[in-house]
Amino acid sequence: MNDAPLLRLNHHTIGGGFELGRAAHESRTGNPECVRYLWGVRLVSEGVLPTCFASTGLYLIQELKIGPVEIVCNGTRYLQDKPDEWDRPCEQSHAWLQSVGTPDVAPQVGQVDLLRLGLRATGFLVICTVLALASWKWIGRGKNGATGVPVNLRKFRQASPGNPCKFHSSGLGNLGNCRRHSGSILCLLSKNTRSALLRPTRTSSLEKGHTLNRLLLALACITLLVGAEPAPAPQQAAPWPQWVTWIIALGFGGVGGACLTAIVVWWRGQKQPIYYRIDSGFSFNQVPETSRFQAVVAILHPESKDPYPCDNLIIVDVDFINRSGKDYPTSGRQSPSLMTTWRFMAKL
Amino acid sequence: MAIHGEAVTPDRSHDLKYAAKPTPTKPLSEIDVTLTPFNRKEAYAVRLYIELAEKEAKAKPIAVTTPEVGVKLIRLPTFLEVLMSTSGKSAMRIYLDFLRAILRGRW
Repeated sequence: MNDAPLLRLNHHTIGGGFELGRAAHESRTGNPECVRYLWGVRLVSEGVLPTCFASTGLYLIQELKIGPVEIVCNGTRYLQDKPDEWDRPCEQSHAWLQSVGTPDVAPQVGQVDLLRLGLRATGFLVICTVLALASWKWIGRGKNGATGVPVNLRKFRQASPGNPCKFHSSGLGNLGNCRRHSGSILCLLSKNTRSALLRPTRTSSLEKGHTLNRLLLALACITLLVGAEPAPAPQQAAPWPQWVTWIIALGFGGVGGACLTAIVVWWRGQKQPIYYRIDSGFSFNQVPETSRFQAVVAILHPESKDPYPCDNLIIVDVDFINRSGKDYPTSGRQSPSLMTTWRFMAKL
Repeated sequence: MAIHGEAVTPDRSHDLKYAAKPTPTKPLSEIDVTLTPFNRKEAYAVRLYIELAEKEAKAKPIAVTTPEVGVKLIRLPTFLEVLMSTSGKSAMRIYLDFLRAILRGRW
């Protein structure tokens, strides 16, 4: 297949290669003129797993009897065909396509991986923002007071009313409370008073805030782990080593976060990798939405051997539906049972 | 420019004819089709393979006209378009309500 091609099916027409292949397949019986146009199929992807295309190629070769099929995945050319290899043996292509689908052929790190990482980071930042807002609002607002003063601080104020709130804490909410109520965050309290003040009780809102923090951070970890796309292999569940995830889960989520992480990791491990679905045939539905997809179809000019010089090709369906409740044409006294004719012009 | 077109008709008694069928050698910018018959609740479809200009990512909207007098053609949104518009508005409304509640201190 030449490097200069052709017809390109944009990514929003996922399945375009299939559609065009099917059209050519149907045209082989209905319209022989079209057969000469279709020369072969080249599937080009950036980030899409090779197996997705392998299944597609398999379908094109075995079911639709279209070949040669060339797959270029992340810049790597997996099948190099020559123009004279029109009758490429299906067995050879099948064997090669199966070899592409082995788990050791992983997609290279490219723009899609960066995009995936960016999406996960964005999700993480959103959750962290919600966490910060929740901490700011909820820490220090417990059942015992609607003024935003922590329980222990309230007790301390009652015990020593003349002492201003010179309070220091690691909690974000306490910083906010002190700033609002006393205007100072300096800790001038004695050690015993401070330890008594900072000791959380089961009913304190401080502990509620920490529980909420853990819960939200566990959710953040799950978001990072699950992601938007099935992992091609268990070891590629995240773009960083798995022990980093465990440290995040243990450090921020505590025992609950670690348990949830373990459940997620186990669940991801149980999911069958996409690589093993190669024999299931056509699998365009497994193509991630975030991945770019291009199918390039080479078409021969009917009178020459040169590829047809067109660049971008998309498939558009134009539907004509009579929803008016009337038969057409409505003019005259025609009966609905009469053969009616309707004319449309579609201007591109 | 359309370089290929194929018709989807309800059955073989329904016919869709091109005035001139687009081919790779004779691309057309205007597709003239005749549907016979076109009674109530009937649907036809034309699948067009459109070649775009270089570096053009999306096709321009297709203008469909008819010579029949007194008939207004209405574009029907797809199910996905309806779903996206509804869910997008709902999600935005929830998000704005959430922000408003936070700013007012009610959350």
